[in-house]
This record gives sequence, structure tokens and C-alpha cells, in this order.
Amino acid sequence: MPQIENITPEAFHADLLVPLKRANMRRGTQYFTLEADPAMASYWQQPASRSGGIARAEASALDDLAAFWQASGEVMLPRIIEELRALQASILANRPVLLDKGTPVSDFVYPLY
Amino acid sequence: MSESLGATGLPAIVGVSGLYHDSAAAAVVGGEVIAAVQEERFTRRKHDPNLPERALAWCLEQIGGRERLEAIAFYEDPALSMDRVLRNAVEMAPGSAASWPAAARSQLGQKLLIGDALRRYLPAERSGNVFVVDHHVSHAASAFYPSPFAEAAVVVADGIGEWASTTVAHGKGSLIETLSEIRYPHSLGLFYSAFTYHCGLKVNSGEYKLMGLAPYGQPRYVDRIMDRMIDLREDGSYRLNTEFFGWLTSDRATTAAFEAVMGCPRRDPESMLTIEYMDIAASAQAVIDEAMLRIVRTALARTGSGNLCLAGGVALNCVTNGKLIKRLPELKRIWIQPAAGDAGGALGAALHVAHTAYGQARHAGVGQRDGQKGSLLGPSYGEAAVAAAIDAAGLVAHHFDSTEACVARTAEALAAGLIIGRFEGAMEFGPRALGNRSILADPRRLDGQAYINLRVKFRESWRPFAPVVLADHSSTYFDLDDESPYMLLVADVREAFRRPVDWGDFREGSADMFKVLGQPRSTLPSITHVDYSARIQTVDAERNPPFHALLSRFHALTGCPILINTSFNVRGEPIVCDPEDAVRCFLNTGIDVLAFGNHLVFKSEQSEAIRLMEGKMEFAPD
Repeated sequence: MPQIENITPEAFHADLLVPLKRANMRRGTQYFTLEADPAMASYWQQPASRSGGIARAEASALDDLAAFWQASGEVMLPRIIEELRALQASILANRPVLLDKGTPVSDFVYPLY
Repeated sequence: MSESLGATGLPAIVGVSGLYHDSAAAAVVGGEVIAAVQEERFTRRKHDPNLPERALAWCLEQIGGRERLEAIAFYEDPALSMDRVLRNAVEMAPGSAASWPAAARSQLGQKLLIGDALRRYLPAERSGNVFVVDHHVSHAASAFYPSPFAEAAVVVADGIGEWASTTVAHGKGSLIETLSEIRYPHSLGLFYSAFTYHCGLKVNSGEYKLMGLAPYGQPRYVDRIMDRMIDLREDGSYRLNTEFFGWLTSDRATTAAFEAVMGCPRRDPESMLTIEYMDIAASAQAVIDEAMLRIVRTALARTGSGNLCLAGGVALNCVTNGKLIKRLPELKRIWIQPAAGDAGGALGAALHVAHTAYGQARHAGVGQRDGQKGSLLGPSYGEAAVAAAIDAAGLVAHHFDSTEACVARTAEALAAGLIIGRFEGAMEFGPRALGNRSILADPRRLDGQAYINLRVKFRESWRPFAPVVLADHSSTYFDLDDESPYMLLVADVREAFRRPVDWGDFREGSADMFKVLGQPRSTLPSITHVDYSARIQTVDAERNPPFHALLSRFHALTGCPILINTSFNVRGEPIVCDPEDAVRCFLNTGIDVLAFGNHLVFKSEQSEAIRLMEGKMEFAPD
């Protein structure tokens, strides 16, 4: 477990996300599939929405996220919510590298930003 | 009556998109769209992703001030986006180590704080009225609510929202029911962007070029792509084989495996386009066409509707849109949100809040016409602002006392072969210029395509231009019976107007696009693409009377009811917004005449010092 004060994204990844991946592998948990599945008749899925499409923005989006995890029966991710809050605090304290005016956007930023 | 409801008794709601790319704001009063504008038009930074402060401020002016603002809507659920980004980082660990820090800073910094950032625009007593609307719901709302349909199938396809990348929904009355979706990392938008990237074009803006490049090639890679990269089912559902795509762990669109399958490396953006990349473009286009055909067929069947609404970035692929009409007999009518990309999400979010949270009725034209108002939803500038810009630049100008006289002289200039920059009325919302911020020219001009590309737009000479045609004459020239007021449908030039094209040894080795471009492919060479297709805008007297009057006058003078219509900007520059932008673009390019409200400015009448300013404009190429 990393020190919760001044946690960096790099430490968060190494100390929390990588072990979480290993734990998921042991449990057979996969958040999404990476390739085709010939056994499936169709790939259409039921809509996945936290709110049913519309919600009021509450004071903390991380509270929203935590509530969503709890409501959807997610077991592992709620365990890192406090570290996620600490990471956010650390990022905000260190002036986040945002898409500031003049900052060029990466060639391929779609999925992660 | 509450102060926020004003004299109309209707709530004013502003929608916002941003912190990603193409940020925008839109204002809705009741169920009526009042105003919408992209931030890039004010800041002059193309696809500006920042919180749209200036667009927001302008929208607040349009509703009568901040005190009138009832609610504000963001076009995405940041908590659910964070959920996806975090799960992606876990799923792809340890390979996600390189991409996670920047993603974490972006998500946990500005994005998760968007509620507070927007709250400050609301009056204190309504500070709780900040809504987040799911990304694909925002897109679906932008397509269905302003459409003319009381009921319709709705399809959204783009890069990625929170999780959804393709959505099928059913709109009925003031309700939108989401029926099914395809989720990240499987995405048609990202799939098409990967080919854009591989062909050396810029992701998020070069997709349009890839579409224009496709007709030069042949789709000989389709089987390879369908066999290896995408499992596309008959019902339109699909999965990608992510081994070929780089977005899960990197800022590259493709992987080495992708290059191996396509048999060539990513094209150097500065290198010549060769036949293999043209064939790849044609193949990617053919696959996206087929995928959308299957998706729309399923959507129509599931909803039992003959009406279709489209939004999301993939809906800007007007080649695909044209094929939907041609190949799906069950599709009776189509309406596509002109701002189909993320900017339009601002409009959809505002409309969704208006209809679902405030119970507002839809626009008055449902069943007859759309509520998009010709997409002329942006800022307009009066004669005083135009005159001031002319004076400030020291330009010699002709002022006309009547609009009719100015239109007549403009049409004469067009008929004489001059290139016109037209700045008139409200700016268009969405990526297409529809006449009010447009460069216009006679489409019969033999060198029109190459000349305007190189001397006016400073862009690649192979890129086609679009025609704007009087709606009543559209089906005479083009194989299109529907209207296309927002330039979102491609159809073929009719046989009677075509001329044979000699492709010579194009495929065998030369791949010389200039040889093809140099041949008149029809009696309207400047707007006829190499496969005889054209990206059509129809203009009618209801949506834009002054523009319709100009085209009618040109028709009366020449017998031709068609003009070239391309956006009033140069490569890499956002479309001009205010009079100063228009003067700057006019002076720096080969535009001959600036049609500026009731003024005409002829380049030939300006001083030598002013004329020598041409070609000095600098923007990063897109």
C-alpha cells in the first residue's frame, strides 16, 4: 500500500492498479473483452448508465463514482476510493497538467482523456 | 413568475461540451434552440478543447443574462468516464503505466470538477441545477429533438462516450429510450480514426480527408480487415480485435500488428500519397459503410420506424449517409444533426434537460420541419461592425443601400468567375459553412478545385469541394431526391452531366492525382469528385432567404443553379467568426471579393500594399 499523502499517478499505478489487475486475474474478473467471441450471437448490450441518462452534478464526482460502484456490486474498486481521493488531492495541489490553452492535444487522445 | 422564466415563462437552459475536443455551448429556451457556438470560433484555436468560457458567455447574453439561466447541462457523465479510464488502466496493467499519469491528471483534475466549474455560471439560488447527461444521450437528443419527426429510430456512433461507442435508441414525442449499445474498447469511430492515422492524416480532423481520399482507391483490403480486425455481425453489432489498435495503452492509434496486416508502415504525413494508402482509405470507407448499413437496418427493425436520426462523429461521414438512403428501402426519411460531433453534444444536453427535467414541449415544427433553424445559431454582426472592420483595415468598399442590389452585384461577380468570401448574418453551428461564412465560386470553372485549394485554402489540391444547389433543382443534377440542407449527404452527379475520365496508368504506378484532377469530370468539374460523387447542400428560401436569393440570382444570370461552397477559412484555421476574422482571411488569401453585409470589397481595387498581404497567414496545418 502506498503512502496516501502526496501519492503520484505513477505510484498509484504501480502500487494499486497493477496488484488489482493481478487480483482480478486470480478471481477471473475481466472488465471488458479484447477480442471477438464466436460463441456470442450478438454483441449488442443493454445500456450501461450510472444515472439512466441524466443526473444532477453533485459536489464530488468521486462520491458519485463510489456510490455507483456500490450500487452495481463492484467489490474491488471501492477498496481504492480513498487512495483515488488522495491522488486527486495531490494532482490538484500540484497544479494539474490539463488541456490548458495552447497545450497541444495528443494525436490520439480519445479514450483516456 | 420566477425571474428565471422571464417574460416567456419558459426555462432557459445552457448546454456545454468540452474538456476533450470541440468545446461548445448552446442555449435552449423551452424546447426551442436559441443559440449555439463552438469555442474555437472565438479563441481561433481549431477544435479548442477547453471549457468554453467565451461561448458560454455569449449564450448567456442570448438568453438575456445570467439571471435568466435556470439550469446548465454538461454533455457527459464525468464519474462514468472516470470509471472507464480506471478500469482500462487496471485491465491493461502493467502496459497502461505510460498512459495512466496523463489520463489521471486529466480526469481527476478538471473533468471531475466540472460540476463546480459550471455552478458558478448559475444564480446562487439555482446553483443546484447543474446536470450531467450521458454522452450518447446528449448526441441522441441533439439528433432527435430538433428533427422534424414525432417518432424515429436514433443511431449514435462516435469514438467513445463514457462507455458507449455505438447506441441504438427510439425517440418518441419528448422521450428517448436507449435500446442497446456497443461499448469500449470496441468503437467504429476509433476504428476509422486508426485508418486516418495510418494514412498519415491527423486524428480528430483528418477523418474527413480520409473520406475524400477513398474515391481515388479501390477497396481491396476489405476482406483482410473484416477477417482480422473487426467481427461485424449481421445485426450490426461488432467487436474489434484490439491486438491491432493502440489506444488501450498508448497515444498511438495502431500497433505493429496493424502495419503488418496492411503491409505498409504508417505514412509519413509529409510524403506523397501512394496508391496503397488510397486503397486503404477506400477499404476503411467500405467497412464503415457496411457496418452503418447493418446498424441502421437493425435500428429501423427494432423500432419499427421508417425515420432515422443520426449523430456522433461517424454521422459526419456523408458518403456513408448517402449510401444509407440508397441501399435501405425501409429508410423513408433521415435527419442528421449538423453538429454531429462533440460540439453538438452541448445542444443535445440542453435539450435533454429541457424535455426530461423541465417537461418542455418539442419545437413547433414537429411533423413538418426541423427545429435547427438552418443551423444559423451563432453570432451575427450588424452593419456598423462590418463598416468598422472595413475602416480599420483601410479598405475601399462599395456600399449598397439595398440588399437586393448587393446580391445582384455579388451574383454578377460570381458569374464573371470571381471567388467570393461571403460574411452574412448568423454564423453556422457545426463544422460546415452553409452560406453565411462561406467561400463561393462558379462550379463550372475548369481549374476551380486546384485553384481554390492552393491559392485560397492553402490545402491539399486533391480535396473535393461541395456544391450548394437550389433545392428545386437538386434532383436534376444529382441522384438525390431528399433535401440536404446541412451538407451531410453525398450523391452522384447524374449521368447526363458526366464526362469520361481517363485514369491511364494511375493504378499501375504513377498515382498522379493531378492527371485525374486536370480532367473535367462533368460540366460542373469543381464540385464533381473523381468517382462522380458530390457532397450536396440544398438551399431553400425558408432556412436562409438571403443565400437563396443570391443563388437564384446567379441561376438567372448563368442558367446554373449551383455554386461551390467551402468554408471561409484557410487550412488549420477555424471558420471566420467576426468581421475582423473575415477581413484578415480575405486579405491573406486569393479571394477576389469580400461580400460583407451590404458592402462589397474587391481585391483588385485595394492598394498594392494591401494586395501584397496575400499568403502571409500562418496556421498549423490540420
